[in-house]
Amino acid sequence: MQCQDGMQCFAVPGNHAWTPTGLRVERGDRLTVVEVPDLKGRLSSVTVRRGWLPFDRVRARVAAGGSYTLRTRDRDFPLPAVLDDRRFPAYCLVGRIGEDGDVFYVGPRYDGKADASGELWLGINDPNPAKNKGEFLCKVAVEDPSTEEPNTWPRGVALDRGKPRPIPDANVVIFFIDGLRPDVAVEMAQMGHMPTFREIFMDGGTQVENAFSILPSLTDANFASMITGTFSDKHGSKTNFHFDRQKGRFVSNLNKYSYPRLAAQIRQRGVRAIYDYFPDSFGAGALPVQPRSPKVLQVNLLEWAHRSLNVANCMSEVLKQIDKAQARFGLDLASCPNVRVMLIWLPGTDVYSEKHEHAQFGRTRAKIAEADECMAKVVRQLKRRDQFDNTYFVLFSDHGTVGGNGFVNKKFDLHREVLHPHFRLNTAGYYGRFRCPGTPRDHLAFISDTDGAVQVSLPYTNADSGNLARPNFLVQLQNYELADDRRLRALEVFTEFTSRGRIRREDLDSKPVDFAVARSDEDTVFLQRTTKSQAFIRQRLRPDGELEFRYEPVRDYLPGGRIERISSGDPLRYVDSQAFSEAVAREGRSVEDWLSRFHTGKEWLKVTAGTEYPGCIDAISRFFRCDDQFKEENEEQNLPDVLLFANRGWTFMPKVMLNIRIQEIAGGRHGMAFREATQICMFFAGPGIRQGYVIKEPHRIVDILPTVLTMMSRDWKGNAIDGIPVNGIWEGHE
Amino acid sequence: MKEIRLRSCVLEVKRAGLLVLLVCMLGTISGCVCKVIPPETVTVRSAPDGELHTFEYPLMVIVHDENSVWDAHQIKNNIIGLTELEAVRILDILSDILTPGPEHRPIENAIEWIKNQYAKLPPCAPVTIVRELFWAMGFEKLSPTRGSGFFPRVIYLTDWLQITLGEMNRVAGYAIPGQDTLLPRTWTARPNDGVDSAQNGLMGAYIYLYQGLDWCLDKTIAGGEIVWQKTVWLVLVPWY
Repeated sequence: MQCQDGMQCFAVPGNHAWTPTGLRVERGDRLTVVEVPDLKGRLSSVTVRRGWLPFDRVRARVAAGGSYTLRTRDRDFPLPAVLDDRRFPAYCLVGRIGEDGDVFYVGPRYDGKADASGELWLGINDPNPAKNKGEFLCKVAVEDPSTEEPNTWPRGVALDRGKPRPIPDANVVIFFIDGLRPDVAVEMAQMGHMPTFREIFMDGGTQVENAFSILPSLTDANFASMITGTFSDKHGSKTNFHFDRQKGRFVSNLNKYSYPRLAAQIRQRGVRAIYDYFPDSFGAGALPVQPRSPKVLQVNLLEWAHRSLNVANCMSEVLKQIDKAQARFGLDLASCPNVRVMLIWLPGTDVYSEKHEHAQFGRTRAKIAEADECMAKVVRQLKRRDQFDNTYFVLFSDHGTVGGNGFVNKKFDLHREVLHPHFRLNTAGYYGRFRCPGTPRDHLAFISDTDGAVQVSLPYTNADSGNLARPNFLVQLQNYELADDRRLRALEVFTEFTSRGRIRREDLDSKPVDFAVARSDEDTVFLQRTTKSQAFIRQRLRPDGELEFRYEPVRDYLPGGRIERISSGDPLRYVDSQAFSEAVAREGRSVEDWLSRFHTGKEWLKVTAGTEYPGCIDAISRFFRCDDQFKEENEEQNLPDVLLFANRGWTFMPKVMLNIRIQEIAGGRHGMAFREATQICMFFAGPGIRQGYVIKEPHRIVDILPTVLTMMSRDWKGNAIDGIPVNGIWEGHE
Repeated sequence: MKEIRLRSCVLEVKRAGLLVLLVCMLGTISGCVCKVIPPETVTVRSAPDGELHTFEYPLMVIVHDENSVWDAHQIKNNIIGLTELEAVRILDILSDILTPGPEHRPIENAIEWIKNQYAKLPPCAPVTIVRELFWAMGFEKLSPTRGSGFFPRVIYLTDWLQITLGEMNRVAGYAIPGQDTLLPRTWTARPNDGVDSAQNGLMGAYIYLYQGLDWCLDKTIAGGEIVWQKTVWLVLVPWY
């Protein structure tokens, strides 16, 4: 049938797998398929019908975009879908060119070039469509390949400068979606599955495209950085677990009792957090860093527990429905007369990513779509209360997620693969104590198994010293003595050995440990990818109080030996990176010249933002630093000996997890130092903020707090904040 | 007579013990109560020279699973959680059972609607005071068993009383020329601060106590789990 605009209209029945359109498409043609409303002006839909017993019955209407959240028993979809733990929505409109052509996603709109020649077929992404009812209506056009493709988002690129112009008496709502990848969020929004995110943050706000976490890219450290605007050397929360050398015990930050402890620790250090800036008007549900009760009404774990239970109906279900519970508490906060700054943590995305092999390119997309619904509830509540127009919105994630896109993560059991076979040490960590057969009980090392970054603490100087109270520096680690008097270069063993012995040269690119970091002295850390790829990061304090860093790639270095510099193959792969050399050239320097000088963290972030390891120099160095003004007693002693980062496709987890009976898969993980793990979501929206723009200049998670303070017309300077506000978000500056 | 009673008592205890043992055994078989990792022999090449060694990892029994609904900690949480169910929620559940399809939560939504409509009223003192009174009382959050939220409501009400008295003091101040409050702010500041501190302190102590009790229960259960783990291990070792 011919539409008014000259396009061909089709009705694609929902109870047929495929329907031929009769349209011939040539390879390279621009093909456009758009969902259209029916005669009554409503979007056409298909009713998916499954089962008839009460517990098995599904009757759900889906539009051409399909659904990420609809749960059925269907598997093996024509286009691998969310229920197969894959990327695309189930029951959406799909197409193929030719009877045996590759299936592609159409959804509400497809606009692309045909990659084959033949007849266009349209259908529903459903392995069992026979019982469905209804049809998708769409119009199709095949045009000349030279026609320019429409690009609706982003509207433009904004420069990161300008003067903030916040409105008076504003509110701020901060959505913190744990582990959400920005590329996944944008893709899902463009597919029509995150309508609120699209409306508020993409079309109605500004994205900071190159936003990065601190290192390691773990939740506690990054959340603490967000709420304090500082790096971990100031707030002190470095990873999710650590070993307290003085007390000889392992401290976990990931249980319900640790959240208030972390908040108390930050306060004791004299670092101010977001709830200290707004003592009477801050509201939040459960948080990874939970002040016990800064204000009676707004931040209260008991109120939260009560609400969440009444959302999930029983306690054991709360974790599964945590996003809904948080959003419900968010509605309470939106109703609370005093709350002006609200922080809503939606951890479901990360929880689900860890439990599914394809993470955010699979089943986790259902959770992401649910998170969007949760945001929609809060936004609706603000609109109902006439609060929407004077509210700023912030959306951020604390880290990215690695795995599911092209590869599935595998577990690397550091206990059985390295510490037991090579060091002959028993090990203890978050997942329990692991005995190395034949080793005396007191020969013990500590490992914080946390996703893609682990801290290792070995006995001082030799495996049988039993002295865990003193940390090992590079000099001890590179000449580490075993109980049988043999000696090892510890960093070489961590980075180039598994239980099967030395990793073959041709397998080094896919080895489990990406690189290891140890302290050379108090101001210098040492990185080692292999013995041929090492580097020093040196830091110094400028007279104005700002830290500067120098990166010095070397090879075959041993303490006390000669320093042999290298001009290629450095552990962070900067020297060979085209993006790095171009960025350095923009600063008017050569790579050699840049590496010979000290630069601030912001300068390093600027030149490394386009590389595989953005902003690692200051972030790694500051992990091992303890700020003199803020440090706690014994903090330096409690630092680990070695910090290991996992390579792509690997995560640090024991083969047997003693405190979790069911965890066969590694799932999507984070903590690593490379881009997928460190790139985060950072979106701002609200009155006076650019709509539909993108900022290319790099920023850190520590920049969110000063931006929020600016939105609330508060002064952020003079608060020992490491971050700076993102000024490019404000309208009126070109 | 006494002897007969004692015998029957012992019999009852024995019967109960057997029943518990049976349930535990069934649980063990079904994988609910524990997971058994059989012994494993692993050959490794040690650094730096690649010397071959064999490790024999022993049998392991895992009894705790923080994600399982059958875990003892979860069972405890679920039992405590029952006391928190709101009256509104219970009525909503009943109503949703009677109506097919997705959850509607009619009563909760109706309450939210009323609250939202009320929020649109002009922000004058009486409107605010009434709104905050209802917020503090939290009728919609009351549970038949009172739950953990009962004590905080008392504190919220004192908070409301404090705000209301402050507002009355301010309004009464209009009667006295040249003064913005009836009682000077210097008089009221200290008592106000004192009440604030007391509220925060009490609330903090309450949460601390609540969490402390929870922690003790968790530790007790963890102790029980260790005993159970050792028992299963001892029973299974001869079989491997």
